[in-house]
Amino acid sequence: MATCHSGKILVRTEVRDVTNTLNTSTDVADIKQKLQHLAILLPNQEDKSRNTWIDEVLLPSAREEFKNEHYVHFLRVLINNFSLEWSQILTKDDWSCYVDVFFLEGWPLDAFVCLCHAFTQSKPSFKQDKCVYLLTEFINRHKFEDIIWQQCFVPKGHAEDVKRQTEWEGAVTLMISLPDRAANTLKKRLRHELFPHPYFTSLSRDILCVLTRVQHNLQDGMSLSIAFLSLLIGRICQNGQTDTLLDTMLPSLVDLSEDSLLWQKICEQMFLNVPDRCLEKLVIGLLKKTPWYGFLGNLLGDSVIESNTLQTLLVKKLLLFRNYPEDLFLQNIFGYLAGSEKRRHLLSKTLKTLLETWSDGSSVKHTSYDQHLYISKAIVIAIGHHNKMEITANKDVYLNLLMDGMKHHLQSPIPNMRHLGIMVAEILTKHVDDTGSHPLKFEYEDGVDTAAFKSLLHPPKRPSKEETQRLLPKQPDVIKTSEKKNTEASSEIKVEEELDSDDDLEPYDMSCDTPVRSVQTPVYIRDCMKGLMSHDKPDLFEASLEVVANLVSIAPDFHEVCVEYMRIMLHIEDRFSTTDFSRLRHSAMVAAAVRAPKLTSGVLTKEFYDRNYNIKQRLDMLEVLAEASQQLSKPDTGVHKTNVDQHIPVSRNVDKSLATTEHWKDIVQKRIDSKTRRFATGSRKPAPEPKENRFAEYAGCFFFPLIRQYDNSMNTMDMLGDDFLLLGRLLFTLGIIISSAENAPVLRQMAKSLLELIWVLRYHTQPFVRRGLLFALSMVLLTVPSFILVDEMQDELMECRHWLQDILCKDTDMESCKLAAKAGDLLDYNMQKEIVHASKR
Amino acid sequence: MTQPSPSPLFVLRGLNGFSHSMTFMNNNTAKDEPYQDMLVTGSSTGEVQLWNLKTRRVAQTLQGHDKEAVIWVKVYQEKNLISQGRDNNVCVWDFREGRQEVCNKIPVTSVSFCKCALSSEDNGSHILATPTCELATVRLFHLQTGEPISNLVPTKPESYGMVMCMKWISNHQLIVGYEDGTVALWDTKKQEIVSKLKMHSEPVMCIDFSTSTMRGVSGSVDNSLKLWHVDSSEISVIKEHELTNAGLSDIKIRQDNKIFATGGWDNRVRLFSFQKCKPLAVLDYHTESILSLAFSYPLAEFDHGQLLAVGGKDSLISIWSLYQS
Repeated sequence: MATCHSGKILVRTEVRDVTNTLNTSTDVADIKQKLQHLAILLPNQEDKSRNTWIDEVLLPSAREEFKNEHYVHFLRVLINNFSLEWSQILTKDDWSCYVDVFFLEGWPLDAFVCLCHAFTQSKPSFKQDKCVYLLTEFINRHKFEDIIWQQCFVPKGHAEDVKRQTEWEGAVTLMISLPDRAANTLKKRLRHELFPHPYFTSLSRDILCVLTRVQHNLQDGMSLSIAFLSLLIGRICQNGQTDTLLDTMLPSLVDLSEDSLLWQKICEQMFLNVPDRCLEKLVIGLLKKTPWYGFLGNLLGDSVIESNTLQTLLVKKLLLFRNYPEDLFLQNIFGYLAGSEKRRHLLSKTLKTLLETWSDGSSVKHTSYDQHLYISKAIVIAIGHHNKMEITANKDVYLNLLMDGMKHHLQSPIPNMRHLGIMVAEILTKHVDDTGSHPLKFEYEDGVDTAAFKSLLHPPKRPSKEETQRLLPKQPDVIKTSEKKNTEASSEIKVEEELDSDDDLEPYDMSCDTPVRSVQTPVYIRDCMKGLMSHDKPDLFEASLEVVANLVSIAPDFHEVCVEYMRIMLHIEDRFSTTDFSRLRHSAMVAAAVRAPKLTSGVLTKEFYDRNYNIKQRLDMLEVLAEASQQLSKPDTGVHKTNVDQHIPVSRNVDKSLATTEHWKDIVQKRIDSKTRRFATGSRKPAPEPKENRFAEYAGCFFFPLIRQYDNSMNTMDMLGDDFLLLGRLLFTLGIIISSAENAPVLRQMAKSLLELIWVLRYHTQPFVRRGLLFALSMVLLTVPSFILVDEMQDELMECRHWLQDILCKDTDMESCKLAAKAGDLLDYNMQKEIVHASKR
Repeated sequence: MTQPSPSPLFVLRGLNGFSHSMTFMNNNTAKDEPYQDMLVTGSSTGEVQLWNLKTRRVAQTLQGHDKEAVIWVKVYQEKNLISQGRDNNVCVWDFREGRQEVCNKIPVTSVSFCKCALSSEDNGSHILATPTCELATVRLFHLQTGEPISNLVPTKPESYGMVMCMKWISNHQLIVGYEDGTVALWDTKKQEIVSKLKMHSEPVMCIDFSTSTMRGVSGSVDNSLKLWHVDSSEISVIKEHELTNAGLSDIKIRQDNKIFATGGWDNRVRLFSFQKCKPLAVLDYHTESILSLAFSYPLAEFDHGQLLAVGGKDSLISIWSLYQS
């Protein structure tokens, strides 16, 4: 006891002495000597010869004393003495021998904390530079490894100690925030080691080294705590450096945990002890980066059972509230859950919640497509992991939920949604019902997407060693070599064109080689109509359909038959599976609407609200109206000209003179071209001829009858109810008609009525209708001159503005949000333009 | 700048019925007349007509098939003629010294439109391959004696269907096209198939073969046209071509192996280069489907040009002179 006490005093006096010397003396030798004196007290200084002042026996307790009472203080004194004077009197070697030792060879955590504090408070000076140098040395010499390693020796139970916990938090905060602090202080002088990526890579390597040491020591039967490690990892992830951390650690961990139970235990403990608040980032990183779910099972063990947070994350949050485009993500989750008996019960539980969400009508309506696709994928992957017993146990529940959901999916106006519903239903029924008695079967086109979707049913195979290596490259520094090879790949592939005697055989014009038809194509519009009505002559029908669009535009007496013609066209069906039927029919109707807009639009708008049509026919009417309005407003002139220019081989005999005259023209043109210098390389087409907008006259006929009766409901059509698809298309069509009616006098009235309609329907529950509304609004904003908007429709527009903001903030449909943002931009632009204009006046 | 589609050199009119088969020959119609180039046609009304290419008139009409359609005419030994009729007879005509009489009749039991094929001369005798009533069976006759030699029946004849067309490529090798689209190479001496290939998905309608290049072409009911090669034991496709309109009724290679012609159901004759099957011309003259084609040997009267005769269902025979060197 006495010796211990005397040792304490001895240390205290010595430290004070040294401190005094440092603060006052300018003598180099003196300073060096004193520092060397004190350095004895640093750990691992075994050079006994230097020890001149303390008893060998007292040394351990003296060191303890120095560490606990004086070390931090002394370091501060040292740092305060970092000045220009010292830099002049001490050589480089002196620095590293006498001063740096105290930081780099002492107790690393304390040293690090001291340095950090001093560094962040410093201004640009020698002191700051020195601190930075010491910190980078700290990093380079992997002192963090020591810091972390030392924290592993906390006796059990003490890990929860509040004081220690706060201490750790402080230290970890310092470690995590060092790159940021350094960047803030140093600005452009930041050293490479302190950039976030290299810094955290080095830190992660240190962590990995510590883990290896832990594993070795555990093998030897020591008891170690890795609570600090978990905290550090968690905080690194929280700081947004998950990728860097995992890129460094994951390949080794995957490798090591492969066949060692001890490693699996270590990893499990490490991840389990990560603070809950940091867990999400880490788990997301793991799920994204682990190339196969089996590895994930090795790493996480059964921690999902023990940690509630992890369970909530995996089973709820990451599945139902988030979505990730990578399939691997979901495969990892379910593969992990299915990986062990203990976790398996979660699998069916999760699938149930997923199916509940999937089949919920409002979720089908209100979640975005991406989210829904994600959930659907999750369902397919989950069912793929089910074994027979689990399936039979839960079969009824699953099927009931599925059938519920099917209804909502098939009702959805969005084709992707329907398709998704169909695919999930097919896969699920087929897989669940292994008796194969009633698998659902739908008709749809198989595509690459479908195949990929179906392949999700089968859990991915374990990747080979090389593949793992490729997915998780162990040495991130050594990737560059492989890139060179690719350059040689595209070597010259010579197409061997043998010199052939064929070449002297010059082909004749073969433009007459067209497919032949067994019937004569009709030349008169009335014949054509008869042909279209024929029930037993497919060839005639086909021929008529092909020429009818052309005939309509040239027939002199078309107005007489127009109404009848439109009725026929609306009613003809694809009886003979004519190729391109719908396009031909559409263009035939459009041609009629362009030829006789008044009559046709009268028929179409009237029939649109008539009783005996199906939705498809009504959609066709809308499409025709829309396209006809566009064609009328922008008649394209280019097409007919080229037809006239086309060379028609009239003479059957080879008229040589004709050929030569053509040549002659070519030659002259070539000569002119070669002598002409052109300064711009733009197209040399003449400016397009101005054409009147023929639509202005008819805009009213197209628009008003169509908008008039949208709220009529009949038993074949209820646009405000189930037929919202039609309502949506109607809105799009109205938008297109408005845009075609640009500059027409009647536009003002049209815009007004359309705005009224938009106002009435603005909170329609179907996203598709909302899209239509937004589109129509955008068209109004684009076409109606801004002064009319501001003068006459200001109130409506202000209300629209609120509505748009509402959509932008609350709508679940991404497309609607985008459209709303665009419409909002247009609106503001118009307003501003008018305000600027007004202020100029 | 391509040349406009060509027109025929001249057109022969006045045919009764339409011509199922044609061939060029050099002959005289009477004992003291000089030899001249003629076109022989076998018509649907049962006549064999000899057209004088100078006067463009029928010089002579031979009746020998009881007014049943003559579906095949062939010149052999320079001055002699063979005709096959739907009366189930093959007539061998003797034209020597101005005679025109049937010197031999060989009964053919076929009811199909399959044309016979005559082999080149071997030890002074020709072998005639004829279709039969039995499925996938070809019967060989000695032309001179009219005696049957053997039957060529493949194993599992029902999978082959009818015999559709035949072509000798040497005096013991016969190419046969079957109803199921198979083209088979027979060794007639061993009576076995050397090689076969399912060339078309529909019946093989016509085949022609050039012995100097050992390459053949075949057409079918669908719109595929195949150019193939026969080496010692194997048939292999060299090139395929897809026609605009389906259905070929005749195909002929010109003797100089430069071009070949197809006659289609779409009323058009198409010319291709034989080397690469490159489309050269589409002859759109006839108003009904083409039935027969024939290339001439170099004709002195036409600057040693090799003419193409095209017979259509519209009772016209158009004569074309194209790609003359």
